[in-house]
Amino acid sequence: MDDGLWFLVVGAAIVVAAVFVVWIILALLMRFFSFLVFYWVVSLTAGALVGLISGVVLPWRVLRGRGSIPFRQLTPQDVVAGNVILGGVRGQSRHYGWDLAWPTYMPYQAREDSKAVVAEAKAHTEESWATARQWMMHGGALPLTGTLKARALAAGKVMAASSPTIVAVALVAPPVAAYLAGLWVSIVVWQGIMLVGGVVWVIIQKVVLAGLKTHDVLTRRQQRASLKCTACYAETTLPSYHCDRPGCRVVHRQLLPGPLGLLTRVCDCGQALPNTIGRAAARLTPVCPSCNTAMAIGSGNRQTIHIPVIGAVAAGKTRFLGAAVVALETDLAVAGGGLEVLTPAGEVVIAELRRMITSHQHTRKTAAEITPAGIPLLCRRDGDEVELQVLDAAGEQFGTWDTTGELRYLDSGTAYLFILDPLALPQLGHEMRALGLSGEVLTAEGDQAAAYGSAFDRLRAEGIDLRRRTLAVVVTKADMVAKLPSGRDLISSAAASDAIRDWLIEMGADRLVERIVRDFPKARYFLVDSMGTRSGSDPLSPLGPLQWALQINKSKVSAAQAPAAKTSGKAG
Amino acid sequence: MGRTDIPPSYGRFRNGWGVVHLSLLGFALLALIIWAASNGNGARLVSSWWATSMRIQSVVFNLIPFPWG
Repeated sequence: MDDGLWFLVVGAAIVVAAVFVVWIILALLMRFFSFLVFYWVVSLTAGALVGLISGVVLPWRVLRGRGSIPFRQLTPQDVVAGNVILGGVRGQSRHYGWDLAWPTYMPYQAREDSKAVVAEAKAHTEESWATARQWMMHGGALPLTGTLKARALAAGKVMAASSPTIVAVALVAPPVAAYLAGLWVSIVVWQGIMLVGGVVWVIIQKVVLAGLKTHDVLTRRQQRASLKCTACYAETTLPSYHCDRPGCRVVHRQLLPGPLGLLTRVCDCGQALPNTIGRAAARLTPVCPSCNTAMAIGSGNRQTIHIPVIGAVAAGKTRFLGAAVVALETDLAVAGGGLEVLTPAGEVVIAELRRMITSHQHTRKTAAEITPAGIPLLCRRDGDEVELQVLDAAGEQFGTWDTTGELRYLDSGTAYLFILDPLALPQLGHEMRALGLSGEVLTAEGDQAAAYGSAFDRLRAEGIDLRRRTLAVVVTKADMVAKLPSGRDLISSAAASDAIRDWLIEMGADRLVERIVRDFPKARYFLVDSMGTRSGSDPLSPLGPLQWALQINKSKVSAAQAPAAKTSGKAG
Repeated sequence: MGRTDIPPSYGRFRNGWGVVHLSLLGFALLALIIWAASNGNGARLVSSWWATSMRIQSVVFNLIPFPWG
């Protein structure tokens, strides 16, 4: 054999041997790989199951504050800052912004909780993957920055430097990937539950909210409920309320179902408060939204009627009011109801008036320098209640437009009481002097028509249509009128409204009556005796004008024994 | 978390989500167990999964035979 053939045979043998070696290696590798495939199937299943369970536990941990990432807990301060509820407050209290109270969980805090769970799942994913990478890449971490080419080269060097790494990757990566996939499936399911549950809950919440709010508003409207401030005289159908936890100074401006709660809301201090005016009124102290004066509990959730009394100095306003309140108190007690003075200051005033009326003493002059605070009187009868606010200004305050301008309650009044002292009329003045009775009683000072004008001419000048309002002309001092020749007939006829009006014209008050008729075509005239003790059914009882005011305001509470209205055929 | 004096309703809602989540998973697991227990579905599923795994392993194992057969 020549050398060439020998080399050919040897070469072929080497090639065949090499092929066989490679074949055997590949066959061995495939056998190893088959076990790896089996391991993958088992580990993927186990990893996914563990991930699913972890996805259940993770939200629990996060929402108990045990997550690795702090989540945003909304607070009442966030609400006030406008960072929680989209859109501003609507309605009467819009200028105050949102109250200092916790928002409802759905949807406000729920959104933050949802974000927190996702953030925690992301952090857990990154952490798990970083740990797995440490196991896999103990020869060096795979580079994650730089250009693609640089990263590929660096990764190649790392892989070459640690051949066992390839096996580690094959063993660790699949179960970790399956674990994370299971975790995220569970998290997505949790988010889905929260989303669906949240949407359903918010819809229910909206329906209940609308129902409760409508019920509260309609009930209060039916009751003609409103708050009339005794200090600034502002009227509102939406009172503010103080939180009733001792030491808490938070005032809630809109205690209605809304983003801060349905049936109840939680104040910044943690106190749970009723969330409708109807329920709040039974427990919380109302506050005037205009001047923040605290009012009596219950005010604002019942009809409140101002009784504005107008008249010249010494016309008998305070005496009339005192006598009328005492008569009303007696009348309601007889009917099984009652009258309660709602403020300590008012209790002092009414007690003093009661003492003077029952002991037939003369009434003290009302202080001229003080703008009157309303005295709230709660009248109850047959399960109904109404709050009367007696406003007794000194006669000096009806001197000019400027002084009556301070009495803002006149602007919103519906039924006014104009107190007229007949003894100051020229005709009766002559008779008083002739009979020597002038010293027995004080008579009105100044021009009574001017007092009338300072109140009503100003209102008319401010654009208020007086024809839509009503007036009772209360002619006082009937006890003295009865002693005068010109008055005896009037007293004995149990004077009707028109008869009193005609009598006033006859006594020289024709120009004043003419103005009254022009301003108030339906004005009523009463003759009252505030000095004597008359039953409620007596035509001269001071209860008559109060009963009239209650009727005009469509009050459910009325005086039982009030004298029946007496009118003649003529309008008046 | 900041403040800890949060309203009790927050805690109730948070527990509620977890309970609903667990309940759903529990119902799913129960349904799976009931399904598995009826007509030998479970045993069939596990044995089928096991057989498939083994078959895949066997196919890969025998993909390249040794030169001597």
